[in-house]
Amino acid sequence: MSYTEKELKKELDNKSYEFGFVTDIESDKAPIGLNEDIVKLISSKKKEPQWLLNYRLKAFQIWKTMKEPDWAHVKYTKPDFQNISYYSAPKKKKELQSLDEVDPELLKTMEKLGISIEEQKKLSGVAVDFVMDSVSVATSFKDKLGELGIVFCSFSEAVQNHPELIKKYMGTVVPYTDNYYAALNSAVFSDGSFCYIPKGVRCPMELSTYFRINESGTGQFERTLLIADESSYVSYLEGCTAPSRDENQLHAAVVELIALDKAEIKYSTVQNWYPGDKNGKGGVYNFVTKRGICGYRSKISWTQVETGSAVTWKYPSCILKGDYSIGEFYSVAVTNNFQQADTGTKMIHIGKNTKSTIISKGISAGKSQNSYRGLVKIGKGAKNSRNFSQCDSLLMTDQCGAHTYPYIECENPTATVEHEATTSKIGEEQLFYCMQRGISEEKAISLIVNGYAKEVLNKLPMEFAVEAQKLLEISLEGSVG
Amino acid sequence: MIIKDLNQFSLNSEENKEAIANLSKNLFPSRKEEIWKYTPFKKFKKINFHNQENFKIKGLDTLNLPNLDGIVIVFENGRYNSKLSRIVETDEIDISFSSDIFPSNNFQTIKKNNYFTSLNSSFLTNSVLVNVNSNTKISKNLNFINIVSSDNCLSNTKFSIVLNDNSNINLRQYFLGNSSISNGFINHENNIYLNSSSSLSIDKFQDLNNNFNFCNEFITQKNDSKFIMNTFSCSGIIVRNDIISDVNGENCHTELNGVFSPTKNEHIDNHTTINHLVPNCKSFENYKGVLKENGVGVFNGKVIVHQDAQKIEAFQKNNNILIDQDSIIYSKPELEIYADDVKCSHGSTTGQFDDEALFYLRSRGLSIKKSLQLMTLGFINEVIQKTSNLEYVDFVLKRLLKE
Repeated sequence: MSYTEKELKKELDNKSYEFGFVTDIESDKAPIGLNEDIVKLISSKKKEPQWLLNYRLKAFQIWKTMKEPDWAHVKYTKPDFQNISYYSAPKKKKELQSLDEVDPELLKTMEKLGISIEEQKKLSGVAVDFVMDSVSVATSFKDKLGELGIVFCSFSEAVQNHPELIKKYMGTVVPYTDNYYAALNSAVFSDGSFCYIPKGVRCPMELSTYFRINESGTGQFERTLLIADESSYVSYLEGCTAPSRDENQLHAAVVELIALDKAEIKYSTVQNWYPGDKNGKGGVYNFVTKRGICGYRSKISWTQVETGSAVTWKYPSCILKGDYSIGEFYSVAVTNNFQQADTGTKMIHIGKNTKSTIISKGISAGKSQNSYRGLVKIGKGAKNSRNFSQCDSLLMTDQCGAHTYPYIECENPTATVEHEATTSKIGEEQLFYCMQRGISEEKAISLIVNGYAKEVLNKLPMEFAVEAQKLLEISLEGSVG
Repeated sequence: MIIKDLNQFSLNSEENKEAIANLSKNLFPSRKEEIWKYTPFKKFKKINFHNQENFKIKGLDTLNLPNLDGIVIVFENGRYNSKLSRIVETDEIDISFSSDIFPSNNFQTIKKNNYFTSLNSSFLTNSVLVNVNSNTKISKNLNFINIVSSDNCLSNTKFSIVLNDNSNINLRQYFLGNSSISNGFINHENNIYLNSSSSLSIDKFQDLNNNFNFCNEFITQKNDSKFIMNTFSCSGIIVRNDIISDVNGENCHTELNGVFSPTKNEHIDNHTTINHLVPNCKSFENYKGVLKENGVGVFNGKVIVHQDAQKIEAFQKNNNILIDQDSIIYSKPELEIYADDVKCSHGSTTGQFDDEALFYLRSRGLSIKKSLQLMTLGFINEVIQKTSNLEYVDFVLKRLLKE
C-alpha cells in the first residue's frame, strides 16, 4: 500500500523534537530581572576590566531608551525582560586539562548531539569550542592552533588575555547603538567565541562552536568576534540545537566579523533551535545581529541553514568598505508548523568595484510564515559595483506564507544591480516524473527540495552538509500540501 | 507644509467636517514611516499654500495635447472649468459633479489614515463622477485634464468612474503644471470601480514642471474585468502615485505599467499594491525608470495574495537606467503570499546603457544626445507600446525624452 499524505502528516505531527533533552548540571544563576546591578554583577563575575564594564553600562543606558522593533513580518508575545535570568554558568571553576575532567553529563549531551569531541578530533580535525549556557567548557586543538599564532578561545578568556584586540575591535561593526537587541546584548552578554587569525595565516582546520541553550528560563546572549588579519583565511562553523522547552526562550546574539585587507572569512551556520511544538507553543526567539566588515580585496561569505526557532529575526550583513571586496550570502530557511522567520541580508557597498551575491531559498510548510528581507545599498562612491540577488520561495501547504521584501538603493550610475524572486509550489510535473519512475511521493519531494536547496548546501563545509541535509529531511517529511 | 488660513478653503458639507476632524488626527507623515521612507518632505516646507485663484488658461489648444476629440473635462486650480470642458450628452455615459453614489469599497480605513486623502476630502472643491452604462463600448477617449496654473495653489480634486457590466472605455488623464509657475500642488484622488466584464484602460500623463502632484488611486475589480493603467511621469518637484487595487472577482486582468524620468533634483515615487482576494486572476506590473541629473526615482510594488486565492499569476518588473552621476533609484518590489498554488515572481534591475551600443550609434554619425535618446526609446518601448494611438505616443515620447 502506498504511503499517503495523511499518514505522513500523522507521522510528522507525532514527531517530537529530536534533540529535546535537558542536561542536569547545577547552574550558577544570576537573580531574575535586569537593572544596572545585574550588569555590574555579570561583569564582576567574569572579572572584567573597568572599560568593559563602562561599555556595558553605556549600552544598558541606551537600551533603556530604545523601543522594541516591530517592523518585521512576525507576530509573537514580547519577551518580559524582567523575567529572565541574565547569567547562568555551569558550576565548575576548575581549569580543564583534558576531556576526562569534563562533566560526564556534558559528554553525554555531546554524544546525543552526535558531536562527541573525541570523534571530532580524530575524524574531521575540527576544533570544537563547546559553549554550554554561555561559558566555554572544553576547547580542543588549542595548542595546534596556537603554534600558528591563531587565537581561538571563549570571549571572556580573550578579555583577560588579549584585551588590546577586544578593545580595538569590539563594537566597531555592530555598535551598541545599532538596534534594540544589539544594545541588550552589549549590556548583558555572557560569553561567546573569539578568534584571531594573524597576518598571512591560512587556518588549517574548520573552527567550530556548538551553542546550546540549556538552563530553563535563561536568555542566551552570545558575542562572537572574529578578526582575520591581512591575507589570512578562516572558515568558521556555528551550529545550534536546543532542548525542548515550553516557555519561550530568548536568544539575542551579536556576531562581528572583521576581514582586513585581502583576508577571507567563511562563516557557516546550521541553526536548529527548538521551534516549538506542533501547536506553536514554546520555542526559541532568535534575534541575532550578525555583521561583517570587509577591507581592501577581502571577502566575507555567510552561509546559513535555518530550520529551527519559533521566531527568527536575523540579517547577516556585509559592509563592503574596501575596494574590490566581495560579500556573499547563501541561505536556506525552512519553517514548519507555527514557525515564523524574517531573515535576509544587507549588502552595503561603499568601496569601488565591490561585488555581492545573494542566494536565498525559503521553504514554508504547515502554518508558518517565511520572509526574505534584504537590502542592497550602493553608496555614492561605489563605482562599478555589482550585485546579484535571487530569492526563491517554495510553498508546501495552502496555509503557510512566503514573502519577499527586497530593498534596492542605488546611488551610483555605474553600478549594476539585479534582483529576481519567484514563489511557487513544487511542480506537479516534476513530482509526476519522479513518481512515474517508482519513487515514492515523500522521497520525490525530498529529492526535489534537496535539488532546490543544493545551490546553498553546496557552499557548506563537508562536516556541515551532512547535518544540514538531515535537518532539511526532518523538517520536510510529511509537510506535503 | 503650511496652509495659511483654513477658513479660506470652502467647507460646505457634513462630509467635509468629518474629514477635517480626521485630518487633525492624522499627523503629517514623516520619513520614519515605511511607506514615506523616501519621500523628501522638506521640499514642502516654507510653502504657503492657498486655493484662491481664478482660471488663467485661455484655450485648450494652448496646451498642445493630442486628439482631444471626445469628452473633455478640465479642472484648473482645483475647480471645474466649464468654459474649456466639452461634455456631450449621450445615453452611454452620465457625468455628474458629486460623488455620493459611488459603490462601497474596502478603502475607507486607508483613506481615513492617509494624510493626503484626508486633506483631499477636507478641502475638496470640485469632484466629478463618470458613470458608464451597461453594455456600451465607447470608442472616443474620455479626457480628464487637471492643471495648476498659479503659484502656491493647493488644488484638491477627485475623479470617480464606475463601469457597469460589460462596458468599455479608454480614459486619458493629464496632470499638468504650467512651466512658468512654481510650487503649485495637485492633490488628486481617483476612485475606480469596475463591474463584471467591464474593461477600462487609463493613460495617465504627468508633467508638472516646478509643481507637486500626489495621486491616490483606489481600484475595485469585479469578476472578468480588465484594468490597464499606464503612467507616464515626466517631471515635477515631487510626483507620487499610490495605486491600491482590490481584485475582488475571479478571472480578472490587472496591468500597471509606467515610465518615470526625473531630472534636476526631481523626485518621482511610484507605489502600487495589488490585493488578490479571490482565485484565478492575473496581474502584471512593468515600470521603467530613466534617471538623469540628480533625479530620484522610487518604485515600491506590492502584490498580496490572500489565503485561498489560488491559481494567481502575478508578475512584477522594474528596470532602471541611471544616466548621470548623482541620480538615485530606490526599488522595492514586494511579494506577500499566503496561498500555495500560485506563480508569482518579480525582477528588478538597475544599470546603465551599454557602452558598445552607444559606440555603435556614435560611429554611425549620431550625436551623443540623439544616441542616448534612441537608446532610451528602446528601453522604454515595451511600456510605450501599450498605448495604441500614434499621436499620443509621439506626444508622450517628446515629453519623456525631453526633446
